[in-house]
Amino acid sequence: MVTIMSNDYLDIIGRKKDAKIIYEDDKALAFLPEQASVPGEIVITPKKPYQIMEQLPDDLIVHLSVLARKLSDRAFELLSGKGTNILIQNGVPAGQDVPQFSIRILPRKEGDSVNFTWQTEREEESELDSAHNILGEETKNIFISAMETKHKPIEEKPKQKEIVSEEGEIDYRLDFLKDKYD
Amino acid sequence: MVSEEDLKNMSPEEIQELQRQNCVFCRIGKKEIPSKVVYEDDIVIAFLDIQPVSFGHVLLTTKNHYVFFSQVPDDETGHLFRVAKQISQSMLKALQVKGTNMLISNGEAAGQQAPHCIMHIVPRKEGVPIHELQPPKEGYSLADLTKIQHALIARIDETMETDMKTKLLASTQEEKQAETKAEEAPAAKKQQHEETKPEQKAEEEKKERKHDQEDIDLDKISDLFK
Repeated sequence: MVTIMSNDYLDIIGRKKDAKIIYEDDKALAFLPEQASVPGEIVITPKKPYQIMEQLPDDLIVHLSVLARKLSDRAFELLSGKGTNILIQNGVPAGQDVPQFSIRILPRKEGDSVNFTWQTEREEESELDSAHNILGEETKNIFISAMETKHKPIEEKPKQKEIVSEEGEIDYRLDFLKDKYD
Repeated sequence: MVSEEDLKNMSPEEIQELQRQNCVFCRIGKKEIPSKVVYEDDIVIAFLDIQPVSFGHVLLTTKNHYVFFSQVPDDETGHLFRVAKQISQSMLKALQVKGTNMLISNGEAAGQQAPHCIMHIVPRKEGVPIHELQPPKEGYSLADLTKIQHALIARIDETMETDMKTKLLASTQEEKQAETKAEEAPAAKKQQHEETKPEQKAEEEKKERKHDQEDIDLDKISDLFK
């Protein structure tokens, strides 16, 4: 069956189609899709047309990922408090059904209809070696260029409540920043 | 071994340090536990999952110890995803797959199993479904969505430097009125304009990417959408 997929996301970005938009800036748009895996699922998509992740420039990936984390936190605080999944379906075999790259955030509750845990056996060493050889050969060429300027896409108010884990652990973001960047 | 008595007397900092020392993923990052590393730099490490869901399944994680994705600082979050993109591209090229899934599980209810934030990168072949990575989609009522939308926007405005309430909610009615009045001609024009854009963009991308490295044929992967 050959069907031409409609690009609903671009219609939403162009405001040709109504959607429950929750966040917008010059590069990205986030909205609540009507067809979702869980209530409150968020779709984050770049405003410019890109079909798959490999086509996105790095600065846009950084922007979208930081936005994903922030919106994941907001959804976490507000909707469930039990957890969130950040899912990227990159390409048709990966389940992508709209030809526009997006990051999906799924606010989770215990016992909801989504299950991301899979049962697998420990792989044979030879299979792992084979995967390592094939993939390792390619990943040797990975070169991540240093960002020219530090990217600070989305400002947060300083008074924002720190995220403290369920066990009441303190967030050690600050410690890290001190020795790493100061 | 640390006894319970010792634990009680430890400061929160010492307990954290202990957790880090005992974290499997931190130890993999420090090479105390061997793994099949496919990429590594100062900030992140990527290695093969020993219980893969598909051939070439990679785990990408920060070298610093963060239990939840929420705790990962902006710079490291951005870096994590930039590396993920490169690994995904390597998979498309080397493993002859046509897609990749990336998944972060944040919290136990979301399926997080280890006390260290990790990203799964799963190569996906055509015709080999992994049901766990394709959550079913249901329809939700517009009234419910509106409720969630308003609550989220309020929360976003409260915590981030934004004014989405004015930008998105206040303008909705005006827009609707304007839309009904608007002629179809400008809309058609806009559509035309946008239609040319993806091609241009793709061209630009192609040029840009040729400088970098010999490239997989992204067009072929894009063509699957047609």
